[in-house]
Amino acid sequence: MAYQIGGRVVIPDLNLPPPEDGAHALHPSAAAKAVDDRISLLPEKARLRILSFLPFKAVVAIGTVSKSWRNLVDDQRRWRDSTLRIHVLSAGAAARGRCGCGRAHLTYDHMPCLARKLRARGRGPSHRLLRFSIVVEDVEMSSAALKSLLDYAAACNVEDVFVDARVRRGPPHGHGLSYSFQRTSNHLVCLTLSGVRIDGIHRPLQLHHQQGSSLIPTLEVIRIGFTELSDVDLSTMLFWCPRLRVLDLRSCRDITRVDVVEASACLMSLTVVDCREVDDIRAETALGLRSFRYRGEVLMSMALPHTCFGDLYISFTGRRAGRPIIGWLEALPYLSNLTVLTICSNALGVCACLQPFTSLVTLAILFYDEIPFLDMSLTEEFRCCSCSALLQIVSALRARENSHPQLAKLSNLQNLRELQLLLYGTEPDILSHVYGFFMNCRCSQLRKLFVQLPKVRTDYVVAVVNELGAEPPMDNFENLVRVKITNFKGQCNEIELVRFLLRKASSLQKLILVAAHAEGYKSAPKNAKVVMLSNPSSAEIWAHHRDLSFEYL
Amino acid sequence: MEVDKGKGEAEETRKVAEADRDTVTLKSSDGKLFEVSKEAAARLSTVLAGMIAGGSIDDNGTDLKQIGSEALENVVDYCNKHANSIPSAALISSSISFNTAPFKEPEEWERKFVDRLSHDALFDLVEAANFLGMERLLDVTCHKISEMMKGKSPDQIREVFNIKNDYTKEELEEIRQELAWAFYDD
Repeated sequence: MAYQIGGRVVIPDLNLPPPEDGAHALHPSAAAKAVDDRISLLPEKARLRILSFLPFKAVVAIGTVSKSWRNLVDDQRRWRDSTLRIHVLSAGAAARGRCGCGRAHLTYDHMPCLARKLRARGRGPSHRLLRFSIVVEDVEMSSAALKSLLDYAAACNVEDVFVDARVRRGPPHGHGLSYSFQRTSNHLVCLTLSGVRIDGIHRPLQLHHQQGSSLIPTLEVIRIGFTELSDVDLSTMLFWCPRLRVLDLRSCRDITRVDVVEASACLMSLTVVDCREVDDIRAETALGLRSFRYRGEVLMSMALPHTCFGDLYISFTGRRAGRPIIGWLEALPYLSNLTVLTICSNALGVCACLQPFTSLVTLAILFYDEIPFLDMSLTEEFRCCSCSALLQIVSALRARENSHPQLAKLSNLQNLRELQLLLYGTEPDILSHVYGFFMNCRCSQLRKLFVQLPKVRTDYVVAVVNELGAEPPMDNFENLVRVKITNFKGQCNEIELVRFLLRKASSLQKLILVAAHAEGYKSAPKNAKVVMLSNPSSAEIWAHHRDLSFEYL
Repeated sequence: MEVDKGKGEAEETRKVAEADRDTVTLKSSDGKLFEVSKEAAARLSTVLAGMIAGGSIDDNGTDLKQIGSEALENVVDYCNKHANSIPSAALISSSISFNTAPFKEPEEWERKFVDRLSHDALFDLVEAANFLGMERLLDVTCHKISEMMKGKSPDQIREVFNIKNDYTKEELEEIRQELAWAFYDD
């Protein structure tokens, strides 16, 4: 409401300028807060137009205002004027029709036509482009053609760039497509590159309007995947981006060491996934780090800041002869603020390792890691061990887990609301992992549980079910409302897991089983809360770390 | 020139009207009549341009049932104030279509024009501009709304525009965690 103090109209926080004179007196209702939600009811075109005047970060943040705004922000196909989204298909693929990505589908032959359209659209800051997104499949697409599109986007002050050329087959590496840091838009906030070479990192940057400056102060999110990036490339790149908040590296060959010291001032989220040569991660200087996600094979050392993490993803895929670091648990920060955790059975296996049993520890790790690849790297001695002997060792270790102080860090997960357990390979007993976790870890706020079962059948474990120790205490499951179990194969241990959860979780509303095979399984427990799905994409709940989904085969 | 007349006076207007006169008469949803120069209407509004070219302009007042008199008054006011400098708002449509007009920052008079509007009048005008295909007016009004959003937290935006938060606490926490980087500025 407008109200008068000393004859002047006082306007509560509405961003309206004060009235200048009588001629421009405010309408009486101008100072009032909106009575109805007019803005959400505006035509889509008008709402998009409003967003097109906002900085990219503000657009992203508006997604949290309400669901209808989230839909508008996320559904990029609706963004026509301020977004350029292209999918360059080969002629053959184009003949088969469009894919569902919602981009404009073109072949390389259409490039001149696109160039004409862009000329008509106009170039420069007043023709602002919020996002530029391109998927390239066509081998004909030349590096020069991509460059000219990227230059166009940069000239239009693009803030979000996405280039995906992963599936582009054709000329050998070196002739592939590239992205040049030399030609970066000086408003760039978010950069996602997949399957493209990265150039121009080491030459001093020459930004359009910032002479003398060689930094990219606007860049906050870098996601790079499926490319060759050296350690020097990475640290130089981080040096250019002092305000980097998100660093996401996936399947980057050649990197051996990730050290974020150059960009640690603002870094909040670090992801290193499937970078096969990385054995050392140094992030202890990033005191604002809240999210850490690692998946890989040969991590030998890891240093994280001792701050409060919000989400953590730890997965040792360990297919190769290397061994995961035993001390990874010690490298972890305090986890009492953790809300989302994904942990794999291999890491849990390492959890179970106890200092006094170093020799057995190694054996147990090798067992967890190497069973499917027994002939690859195991020594004579290990090869002689039968499965049952190993099982006995594992249960002996498990018996001592509870008392070990190393697990103290994982034991206090008082804020955890989502847990994802990834059970890789041919585990002897999935239940021992699940039980083992809940025996050690107190997570009474847990609301969602995701369990990814191994894809391959492991029928021989029937007997082990009977050997299980005490069931975990009830208080871990008081708030559990949703469970999703993927790769369900109807095996008896899996059914036992479902029964166990139905028994323990008093607040459970829904338990979704996603079948490993399309036909589903009749042997799923009959219960009103249990839903059996054969199509994984129809599941209505998704893990927070869904973008890192991975099948261990 | 703007003419705001009751129904009784409309009769007189019609008498004066000739087939090739240089104004068009628009009728708001509540029956009020407004006159606007044909040239400005055709230049600023793709919809009116289409109606004029197609001969579907009614000399007794072209019905614009979606637009209230206050908003239509603002539309007509805007058209009349508008200098001759803005290029045609025609759009190209195809699989990749852009609004090709470059965005120019609102001029001083345009800022004043939208600044004096009430919250509701502003939104009425956005709807009218959208309905009539008036790209420049849509730019100016939407730009004003974006200015009202800038620098505000999602909570503040919800409050200013009275947007109902339909997320549960958990959903909101999850999204905020996912997009955490976008909430920090320093």
